[in-house]
Amino acid sequence: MTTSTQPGSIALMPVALGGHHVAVDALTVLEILGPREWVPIPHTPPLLRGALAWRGRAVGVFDLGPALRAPALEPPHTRSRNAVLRVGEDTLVMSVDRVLEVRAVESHAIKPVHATRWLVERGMPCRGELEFDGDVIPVLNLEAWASLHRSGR
Amino acid sequence: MRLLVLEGAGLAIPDSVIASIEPGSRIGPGADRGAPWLADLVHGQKLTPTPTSSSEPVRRTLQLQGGGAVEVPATMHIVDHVELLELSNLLRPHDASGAILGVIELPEGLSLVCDPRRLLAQGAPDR
Repeated sequence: MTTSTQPGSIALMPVALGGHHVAVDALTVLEILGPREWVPIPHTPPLLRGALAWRGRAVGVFDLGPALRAPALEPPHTRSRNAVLRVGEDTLVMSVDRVLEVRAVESHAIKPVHATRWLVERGMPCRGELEFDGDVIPVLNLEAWASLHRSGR
Repeated sequence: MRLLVLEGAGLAIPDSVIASIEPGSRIGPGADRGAPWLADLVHGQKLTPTPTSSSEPVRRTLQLQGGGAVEVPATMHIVDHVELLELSNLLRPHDASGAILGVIELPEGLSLVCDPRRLLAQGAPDR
């Protein structure tokens, strides 16, 4: 996926899950997949539920559902869309209901987390929040989540 | 890679770690208590199947290379030349025992590949 942005702007990809919208950095998106089969892996934190097969590897399946108070992902099938994301030197798959069109926003349009603080309090770090189609949506910080995840082992 | 696939369990074991396959314990009233149930070890919780009759032979015992044994579902088959999908870095360190070796894609679905010897070394859950 290639996305061009102007200096001072950032490309975000909104996704929908359980009636909520959240956004991720579009430059981290490697591929959007349709529904896939996945397998739970024991002893993972709540948001990292298991693995699915992607390009010859078993990559982590990230389920934001419980943090959004949406139903958790149930094996063996993912939701209808799966965003394959580069997170640091790793890859994970975020399973969502819908993927929306990437949009470029000015960096200053991303405000400190306030209205969406509840998501941070449920263990999902955010870069900030953004007005989106009349709503305020969180911009996920998956790098920070992965760092917490690694340091918490 | 040659694997023993435990049907219905979503688990597979490398053939190289298995010394022999023997009849397992019977479950139900008065049943003997054999080796640990593999799925209990993998998932860290009691998933031992409920008997449908007092004498149903639903288990087999896998004697493992180097010692130790686990009980598994009686229905199994071998697959050859299957590609092991290694766990990504984010997933791997959460398996403290290193017993989850990866994932395989089979016609019936994805399965975890595990080394029961490492699970036994880590200890069985409460039974």
